[in-house]
Amino acid sequence: MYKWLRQFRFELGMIVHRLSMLALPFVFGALLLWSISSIKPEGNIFADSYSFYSLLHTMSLGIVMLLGILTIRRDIRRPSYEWSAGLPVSYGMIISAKYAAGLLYFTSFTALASGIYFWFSIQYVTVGISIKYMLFFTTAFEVSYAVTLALAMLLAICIPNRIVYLIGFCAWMFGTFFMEIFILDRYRLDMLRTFHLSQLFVSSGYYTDTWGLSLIENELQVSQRFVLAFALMLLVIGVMILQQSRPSKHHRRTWTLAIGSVLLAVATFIPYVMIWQERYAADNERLADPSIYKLEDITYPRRQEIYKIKSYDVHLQKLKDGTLQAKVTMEIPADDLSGKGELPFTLNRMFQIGQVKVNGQEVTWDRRGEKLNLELPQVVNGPLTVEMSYSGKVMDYSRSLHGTGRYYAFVTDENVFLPGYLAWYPLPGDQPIYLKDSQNIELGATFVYLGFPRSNFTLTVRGFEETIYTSLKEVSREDDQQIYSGEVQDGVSLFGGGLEEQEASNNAPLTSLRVVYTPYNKLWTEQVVQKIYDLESYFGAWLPIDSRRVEQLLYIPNQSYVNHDVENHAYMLNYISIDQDYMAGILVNKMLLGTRSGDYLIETAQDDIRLQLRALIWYVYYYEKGLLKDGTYGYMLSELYRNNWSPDNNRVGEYIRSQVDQALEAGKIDQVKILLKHFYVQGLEIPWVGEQEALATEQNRPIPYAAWEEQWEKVMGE
Amino acid sequence: MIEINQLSKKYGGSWKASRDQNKRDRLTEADHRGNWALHDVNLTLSEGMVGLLGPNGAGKSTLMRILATLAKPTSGEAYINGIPLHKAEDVRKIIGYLPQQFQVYPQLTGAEFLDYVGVMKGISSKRQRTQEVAKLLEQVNLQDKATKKIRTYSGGMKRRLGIAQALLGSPQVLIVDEPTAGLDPEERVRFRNLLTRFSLGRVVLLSTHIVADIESNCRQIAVLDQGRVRMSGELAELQAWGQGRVWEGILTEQEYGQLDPLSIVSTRRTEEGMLCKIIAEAPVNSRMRRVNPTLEDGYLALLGDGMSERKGAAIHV
Repeated sequence: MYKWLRQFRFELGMIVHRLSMLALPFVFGALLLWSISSIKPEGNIFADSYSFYSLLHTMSLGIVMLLGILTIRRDIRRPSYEWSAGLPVSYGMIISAKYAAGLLYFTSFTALASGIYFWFSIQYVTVGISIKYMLFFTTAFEVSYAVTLALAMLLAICIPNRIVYLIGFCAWMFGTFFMEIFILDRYRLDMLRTFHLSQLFVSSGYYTDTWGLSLIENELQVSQRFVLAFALMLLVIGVMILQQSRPSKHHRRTWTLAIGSVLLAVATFIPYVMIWQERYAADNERLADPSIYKLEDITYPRRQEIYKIKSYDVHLQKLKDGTLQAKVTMEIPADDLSGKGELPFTLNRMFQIGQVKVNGQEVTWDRRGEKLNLELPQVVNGPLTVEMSYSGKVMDYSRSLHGTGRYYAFVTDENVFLPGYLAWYPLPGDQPIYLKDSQNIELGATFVYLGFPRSNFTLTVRGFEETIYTSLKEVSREDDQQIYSGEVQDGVSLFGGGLEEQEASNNAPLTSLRVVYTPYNKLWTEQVVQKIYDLESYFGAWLPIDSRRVEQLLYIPNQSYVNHDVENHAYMLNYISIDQDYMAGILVNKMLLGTRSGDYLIETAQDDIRLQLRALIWYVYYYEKGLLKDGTYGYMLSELYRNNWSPDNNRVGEYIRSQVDQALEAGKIDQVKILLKHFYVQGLEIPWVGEQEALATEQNRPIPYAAWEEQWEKVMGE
Repeated sequence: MIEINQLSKKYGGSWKASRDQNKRDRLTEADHRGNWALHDVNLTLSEGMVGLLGPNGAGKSTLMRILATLAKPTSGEAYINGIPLHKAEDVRKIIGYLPQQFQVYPQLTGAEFLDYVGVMKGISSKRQRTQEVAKLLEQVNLQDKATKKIRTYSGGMKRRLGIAQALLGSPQVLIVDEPTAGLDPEERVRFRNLLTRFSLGRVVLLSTHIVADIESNCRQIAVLDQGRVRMSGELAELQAWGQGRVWEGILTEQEYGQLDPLSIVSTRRTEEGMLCKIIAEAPVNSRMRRVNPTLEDGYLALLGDGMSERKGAAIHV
């Protein structure tokens, strides 16, 4: 040990005696500091730091490669340093000391990176959360350095020629940028991610906070265990090669160690392979399943034919082993089903059905994939009460074209992501939850409008470690149980794990907005909510805003979530834009004016000027706030300006804008507001006709241009 | 004591040769002698200073590297103080080694370097190490440079530092490969004396192709040529190889021109013609007279037996 320590001290001295090497960690730290300090306070510190760190860390691996080669070439296998090979010390001792010294040197890089991250992080989130994410970076840095250093040293041992520098450079480039761009991304060989020298990915490593890390925690641990075993193997093989070059009485021992290290690497690789095998198997099984529709057979947009379900009563319990156990009671009116002997449902294949009763009588069923067909004992001649119990573990992963794949749904530990469009509860009819092409399983909701019945929904959840959030109104929350209830028309999605919530602030002008966000988005959320309140205050002063339209703002930290819009009375975000004004505008637009999903059905502005009226409301806002300058206009106003894609061939939008401009210049802003309010109370929402007939007739009332002219005369003529 | 029994070393394919530290020498050997660097070497070297003589490419360095446990013999065995070479870890504890080429970390001082080597040689007591390092630095006349960076050392100083590291820990066997190369005459003398002093009670194996290096200090010698031991024994035995075969006299330019260049030991132009000393069975002319051989003459006479087989090989005198 004494010799080892001296050798270690000697090697460390060899590294740090050079001023350039001594300065490098500080240069690295300064670059990190400079990068991370450019992140705006409202940004997501983790996600933004990740992108900076991944690049700088990958660059630092080049230094690791160089130092690893230099540390060997300093004296190993050099004829003029042969005297050192005659000393009574083993290569194992020398190589391990060199390695430890190199790794300790690069630990200073890690320490700086971790320290800087921690310092910035605690400005925004708790110490506990900061430590968690700091440790992620610490581990990632150290594991990358460990394997890269071992590889560099082995290369230098194997190749005594100076060409090893060039080969080392190629290994660095290949093992990082090239591998990521050409092997992982282009050929979707995600399984090989563990061989990427850097544990952080420059382009395909989008990790969000909360779920982003939690979901890959196991994979990361297994992968890093393998990488460390692999690094050990490289070192032992290096020692073995050196031992072969001179006599030793320990050859057999060295060989045994080398074989042992290879076996250890293989043994640690197996669990990693199994993770991927499981993922691929699920994808392959679905690709081979004929019950899943092909993408090419789908027409767009298509609303699925469904029957009505008057009410759902769902009891969902999470068991200790992570299994979800559900009991669902549905009240189904007979209207659409009279005379039918079968009842089709859609329920995700992750769940195994235990029992189904119709009007208290147990029935048999037929199931293929998501398709579930209940065989009724007699044809439908009255309302049905269907009780269904089912259970299953939820982890729905699918390969993607780029990056790390997609998590369509999961319930692991405290993390819960169960979108309604995945049919975690029975949906009426046969609906394409998944679609496929030759290689991919896609979400049906991305390509078609799934049919969610307008129902009264009661949801009781139990056994979850953390609070569950939905688009429904929360009725009660006890220790282990939450009850949600409300009318649904867009399905019900469940979210939970690592999220924080903020109830409506006292200074909320109208809407009691409940906000759910990830810890790192807290500041962003607070600022956006404040902007929303400001906008609401402004519009609330002259428009009767329906405060129930959006009652919650839920940030879902998963880009695989496809329904980023309003679900029932909650606005769902799966991304955040750093442009807070833009985000606040979009959200308030939805709160103020509702959907415009049916806008493509408007043939001419002459027949229907609701789009122009929606824009005019924002136009007045921009005018009053002095934001209409130099011909620039906000993104809400496109219908008032000439554009190629609008159905406004007669340039009605431009015309009414000029009318309003004149009125505003004449100081008639109050009259303009009265005019707009007149139309606002009529309803400016443009729903998709046919999606909900009743709703559509109620809310979908076109306003012809003639009505505008008429009202203009009335108001402005006074 | 070093005992070498039927030791052979053969270099295989190019990849093996490339692994070798002395690649250039080996390839030369391989080219000339069918890849055998050493062939059936048998030697017994006892206490004292032993000179290993031989022309370039004779296999001296190969033999020394094998004895220093840096290369494996193809066949045969050797024992160093009774320890077989395959127990290399044990052998390394009792030897000191200075290779032909010697470089050392330029950023260290001489004292730091020797301290490091001392630890590696198992001298764990700091005090003992410091004392021994100071003593050795004095012996190699580097005491004034002890705290200077090695990068400031001249070639000779580095060489002296090399011998100091080999002597550190008082090894039972010292193996030094051409240690006087690059040293000035004064240092050479000092060096020889240092080694002679050190060889009391120990084996010091010194390889050289300079006869003068061993002439005054070695008790035993061994001559290697083409990987084989041409002779081993005492200095007088080597000198005796030239007995009756060394001739000196004036030659005409014509006679000189007809001489086999490999047989000429020395030449000096005089007014009467070329004054030559040659090794031959008979004189070239009647003016030549037989002279007593020196050690160098004996060495050259010994090698001369194989000279015709080794056209082109240089003999350094």
